[in-house]
Amino acid sequence: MAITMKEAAGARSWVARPNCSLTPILRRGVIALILVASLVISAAFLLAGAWLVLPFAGLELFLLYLALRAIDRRAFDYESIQLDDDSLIVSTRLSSASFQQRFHAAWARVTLEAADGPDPLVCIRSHGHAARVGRLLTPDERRLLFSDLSRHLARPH
Amino acid sequence: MNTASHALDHHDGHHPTGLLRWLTTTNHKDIGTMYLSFSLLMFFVGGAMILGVRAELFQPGLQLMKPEFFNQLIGVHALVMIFAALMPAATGFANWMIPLMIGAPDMALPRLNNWGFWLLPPAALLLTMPFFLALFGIGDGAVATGWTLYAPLSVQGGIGVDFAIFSIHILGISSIMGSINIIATILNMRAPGMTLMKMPLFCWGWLVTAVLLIITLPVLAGGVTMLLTDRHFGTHFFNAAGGGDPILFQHLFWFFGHPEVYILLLPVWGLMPHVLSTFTRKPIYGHTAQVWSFVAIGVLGLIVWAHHFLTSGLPVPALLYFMYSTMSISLPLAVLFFCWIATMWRGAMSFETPMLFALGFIVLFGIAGLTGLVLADVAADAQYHHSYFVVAHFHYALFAGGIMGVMTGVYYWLPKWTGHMYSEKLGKLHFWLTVISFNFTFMPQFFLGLAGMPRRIPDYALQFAEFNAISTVGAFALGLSQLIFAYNVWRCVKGGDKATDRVWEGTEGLEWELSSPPPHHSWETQPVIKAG
Repeated sequence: MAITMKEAAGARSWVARPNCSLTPILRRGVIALILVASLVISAAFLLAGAWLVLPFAGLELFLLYLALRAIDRRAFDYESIQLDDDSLIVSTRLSSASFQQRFHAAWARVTLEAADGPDPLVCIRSHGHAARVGRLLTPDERRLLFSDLSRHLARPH
Repeated sequence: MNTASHALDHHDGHHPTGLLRWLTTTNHKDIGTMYLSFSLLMFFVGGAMILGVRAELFQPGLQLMKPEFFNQLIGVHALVMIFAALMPAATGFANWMIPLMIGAPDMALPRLNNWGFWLLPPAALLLTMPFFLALFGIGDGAVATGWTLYAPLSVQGGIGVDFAIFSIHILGISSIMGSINIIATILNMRAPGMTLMKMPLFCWGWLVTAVLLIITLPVLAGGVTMLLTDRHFGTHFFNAAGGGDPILFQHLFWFFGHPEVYILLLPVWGLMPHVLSTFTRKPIYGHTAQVWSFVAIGVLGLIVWAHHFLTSGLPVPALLYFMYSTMSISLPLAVLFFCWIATMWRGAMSFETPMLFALGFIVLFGIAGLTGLVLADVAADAQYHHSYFVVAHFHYALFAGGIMGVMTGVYYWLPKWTGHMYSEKLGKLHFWLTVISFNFTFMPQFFLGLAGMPRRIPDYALQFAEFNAISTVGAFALGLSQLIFAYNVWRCVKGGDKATDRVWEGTEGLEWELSSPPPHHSWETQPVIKAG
């Protein structure tokens, strides 16, 4: 996991993404390689009369596909905070579900929930609404994000 | 490499403790420890079985047990050693070290990892349970067909065969889960900058292993399921009287069984360069060549299976093909040997226990390779097949190559895992006793095989008595020597001199940047591998 902070023309953004070294091309390549090898072998045994190899190979390839798909779903996850003079926008995409919340920068307050616990979360509140961020970060990174965000929100807008 | 400093941070207060911790853990280090502990336990279980066999073989004639029980001990010994001792040991290494080596916080699929381990104890129980059931008059004991389960003997066997079939299925599911997890972890969770060709060789060895397992396990699963249906559901896959073909089972079994040898050895071959590099204080020689050798061995390993049954009446073109293809594996293997020797060449060598085991591995595994070439020869194999020559050959491969390789890894990484140094004195004593007693056990078996003694028999001609007596004495010494290993490990887990983070002077790699023992979450701050 990594968080990047950018600052340009008075606007700041923090983006956290999980580390994924498996590119979609490599993922497809791995599945294709194992699929072709398994099917060739299963087909050869099928022709030799050992047809029960094929269902086991199919089941196993299905499991591999599910595992890589689960990884794929997480590959595009992100948590982003954009702060400019007027607004603070929290955007998240976790396991294919996307959310976006907009807060007024002058009214938004940031707290660290369960700060002393093992799993603190950065919480942004305003006008009865709240957004929790930091799920893609380690506890230490969440504390860093909290202090960074607090410092910037405390500045006059 | 740019890495952050990682202080020891257990977070103990926030995780389950006691039995619940081990049942529910998804932490790669906990699961690695469970795999390794289970492996050590089953190593002694499998070892105790074969000591029973060797005790019977101490003298000609039947002294201690009935031939049926002798056959059961041999079959279950092999299955336990291969599936419940060696494979879990390698998986334990993978769990412990792959995330540390590639800069990942854990395995890619932690829950799957937990399930993968917890399938092992019931599978081992299933495999050994028929021994105990027989004591209560249920069934006629464990599987007595040898680990190969050849039809038609296995079609006619008792309930031990059914237990073995279900056990193999469960062990296979566990291996598949582990393999999928390892592939996903290695491919998806490498630290930024760690390209595939920069990846440590141990991870490469495991990547090829995992792919081999995924490709070959369905064949074994299909084969043993067909055996089950032949036994209970009236099919005739392997029954010649019903139009089936017993040789088909041999093809199915060895299509898995031969790559299985590389499945057991590739992780060890991946580990060796790291150990040799550390104790010669030189970089690994031929990283790329070794990677491609692993891949070549993996590919060739899939197409040579029938050399295990060259005497079963294969057509001559098939005999020639399997002979030459089997011999061709010696080429990438020779590249590995050359790279290992070149890594040591003119290095500032020191001889700590892991290095001694690595050197012992190279010499003894070399003997396995050379005798394997003899067995690949169709003409020679006609004489040596099913003799003690084969038994000696595969024990030089799987004990000297596999188990001594695992011991190399344990001594090399134990200080990193526990934070304590093991006793070097006990380690060296263990090494020398193991090497000497191993050769006393198995070298005579080459001569027994050359003289014509068949394997898997409880009684033998008087002419084989001396070598069998030496072999049995060696086996008991070998078995007892392993108690030193267990004691040394236990002592190290309990305490001892504090290990530094790098542990060894000449180490290189991400895993040595973490504290000894590593923190609960391995890489809380992502390391970045710089170019060059």
